[in-house]
Amino acid sequence: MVTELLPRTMPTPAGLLDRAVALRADADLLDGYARRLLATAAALTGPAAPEWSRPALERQAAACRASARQLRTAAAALLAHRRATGTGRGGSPARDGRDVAWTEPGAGRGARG
Amino acid sequence: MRADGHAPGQPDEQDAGELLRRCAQDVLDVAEGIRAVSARTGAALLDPALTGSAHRRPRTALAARWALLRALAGGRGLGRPALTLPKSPARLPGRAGLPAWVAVTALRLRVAAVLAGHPEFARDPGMRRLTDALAADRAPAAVRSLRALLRDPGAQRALSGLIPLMAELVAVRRLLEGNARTGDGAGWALAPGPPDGQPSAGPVPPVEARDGGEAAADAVDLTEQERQTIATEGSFLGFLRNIKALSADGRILVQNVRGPDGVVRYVVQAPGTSPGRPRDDGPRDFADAWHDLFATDSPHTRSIRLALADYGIPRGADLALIGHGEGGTALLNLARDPDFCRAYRVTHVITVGSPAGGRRTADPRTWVAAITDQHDMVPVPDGPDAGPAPDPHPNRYELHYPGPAGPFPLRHTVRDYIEHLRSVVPQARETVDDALTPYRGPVVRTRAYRLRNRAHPPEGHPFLTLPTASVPTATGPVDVPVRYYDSSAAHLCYLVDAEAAQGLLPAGTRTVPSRLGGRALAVLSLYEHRCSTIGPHTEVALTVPVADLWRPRPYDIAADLLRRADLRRTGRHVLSLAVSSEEARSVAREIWGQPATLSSAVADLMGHHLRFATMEIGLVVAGRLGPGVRCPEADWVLYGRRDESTVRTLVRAHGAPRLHAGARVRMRLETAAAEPMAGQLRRLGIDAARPLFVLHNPRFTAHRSAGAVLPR
Repeated sequence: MVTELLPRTMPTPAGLLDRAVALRADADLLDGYARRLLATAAALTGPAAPEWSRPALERQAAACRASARQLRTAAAALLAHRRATGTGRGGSPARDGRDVAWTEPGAGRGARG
Repeated sequence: MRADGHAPGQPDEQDAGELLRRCAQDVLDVAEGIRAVSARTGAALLDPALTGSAHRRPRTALAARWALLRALAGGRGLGRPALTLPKSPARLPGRAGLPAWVAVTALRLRVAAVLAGHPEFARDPGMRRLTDALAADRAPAAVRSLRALLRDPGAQRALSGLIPLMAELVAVRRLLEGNARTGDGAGWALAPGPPDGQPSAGPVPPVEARDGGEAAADAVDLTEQERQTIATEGSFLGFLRNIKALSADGRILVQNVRGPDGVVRYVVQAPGTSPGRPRDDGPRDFADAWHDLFATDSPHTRSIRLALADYGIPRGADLALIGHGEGGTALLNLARDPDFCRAYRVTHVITVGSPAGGRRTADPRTWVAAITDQHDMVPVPDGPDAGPAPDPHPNRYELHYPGPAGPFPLRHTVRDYIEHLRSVVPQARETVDDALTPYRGPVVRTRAYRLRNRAHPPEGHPFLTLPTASVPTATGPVDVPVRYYDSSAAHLCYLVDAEAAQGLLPAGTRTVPSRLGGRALAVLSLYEHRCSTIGPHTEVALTVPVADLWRPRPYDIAADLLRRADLRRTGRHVLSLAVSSEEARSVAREIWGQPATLSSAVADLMGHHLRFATMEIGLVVAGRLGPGVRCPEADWVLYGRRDESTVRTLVRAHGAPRLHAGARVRMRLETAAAEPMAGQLRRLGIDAARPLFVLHNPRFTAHRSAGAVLPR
């Protein structure tokens, strides 16, 4: 017996791609936050600055950068899944074009139909 | 002026505070941004596009989900998303994570900014608890302790007093909780606010979503002493003096005034909150209290409406609203309500020490005056940009004057504002009096109302729900029993020479010290009362346990400890007492017959490390408590002397006292003077001794009865 999936419940090809794009953008945001935290740490000089503030902000900036890397990895994994499921085949050329640009070296097996 | 020669608020401190405040704001913005990233990452993990296709390529789907999960819940990951998707199967795993850590850093910077300009604020109980919670070495521990503090029902009162930090506290709590509470609307997503600390962006959530308060207003009689102080003629300072008379317990006053034109008009006078005193109309927690400050519909404004309805003000009557602090804010909120302004013609709104912040009244003809002292942190939390709205308006008078420098809590009192209007800014008083000309006539009728919020039990219920009676004292009427809603105490018990103790007890009486094997006990009691019906204060008392006045027996104190406190015949005779407020001194001397003197003190008795230092009597107690055991409630009977009689006062306490060995706690005297307490401590040998044990009660409630005069 074949189960028919209603159109509104089917995974949309654009959904995963949009998520991956958003994750990449968020990774860039986190890098920006890391820079802002470092700039704040640099601004906190003089006797007014609490001793703990600089190392704490630097640690948090490092954590932001680490999270940015993890988000990029997750974005790549999402794209890989999208290629594997073949949901990219129905996508528009423009979207597929974005897909190619985001493909990491060696991760393009059967990416496009 | 401080000991280092700097007055608070000097330019260098302002610069430092401004730098820290800007940095704190920037870091908090970053925390909010990271939280939004976390929410989007969580949404990606639960995206139907991913979950719906997992069965087709399980390996790649698992890899994608694992990567997302790692980004959220990894060691220093983004943390549990703040977003809870509708119909999501379960809460996503993970800790509060990076947004919470960054938010805690922002809060610590903000605390440093406040303390840079107002170092005296470090002694505030709420600030102390907050800094203790944030002082953990590692970020996760600080996040945990801060989360515990923000959820602690017993801490809400203290946190509500942290007005300068309130916007950040509310924002940080939301970040720590990780997801919105039920009923939280968009208003809970308020940005931390502009420099003046007011959450200007976003709507305030409706009162049902915050509190569901059942407002009430009960007409109450004024005491005879209060009646004598209530102004009989309408004037700005007269109305403020009325507010001062009512500020002890949060009542409001409604008056009829016959103006020079013969028309009867109405004046509503609302005091602000009194730090360190109980209140019955209080919101559920500090965040509700903060949001209520900006809502036209809050339990506070509702109860004021009920009072006005009960008073019988006819529709369309002229109304002047005059308030201090939170009372002024509530009245301004009423004037912003179109419904209220349709019912009455609000001609004047005058606030002192209230954050007016450029809010507009519903009736553009309403004359609004906002008077604030630059050193008062309630209307102007801190930061040079803070202050009244810059745009001038013909019906608006705003004065932000530099009053005499001084510590924060004092600069917010209505008494200080009255004094400043007399001596520092008399032109403001004249301007407001000119505007109030229609109300400058004889007072025809006066009625006081007590505002309540029936959604919550009275504070301290049921232990402190007691019948009370008003007793006049030199500093005003005092309700007895005196109730203590939030206190800490440490009783240092010493073995002393019985003859020396007898020598300090009043001569010519049969009061004798209770003996334990030929020795007597002396107790040095340290108290920090953060909230009481006589205001916040510290107390240090030197007492000697004494035997039954009529039938003294050996070891009777040990037998008496097994009895209920009200059946005990033994008690502790108060040899000397030092308190930090004039009101507490009056009560101790006039009601309990205890030889009280005035001495300010710095106290921290809530943790395992005790610190208590008095200024005037040179007594310092410090040390770490060792392991302890729970012990029964420490109810006491205190004996004092009034004229030639002994006064017996019953003290009932409710807390969780613990008995500790006192080896590590030390008392030292930093004075060569003998009076008022040091000489007695030396005669008993306490200045060089270790306490036998320490009875520590980090948090308790208590009530002390009126002193009963014994017939001898």
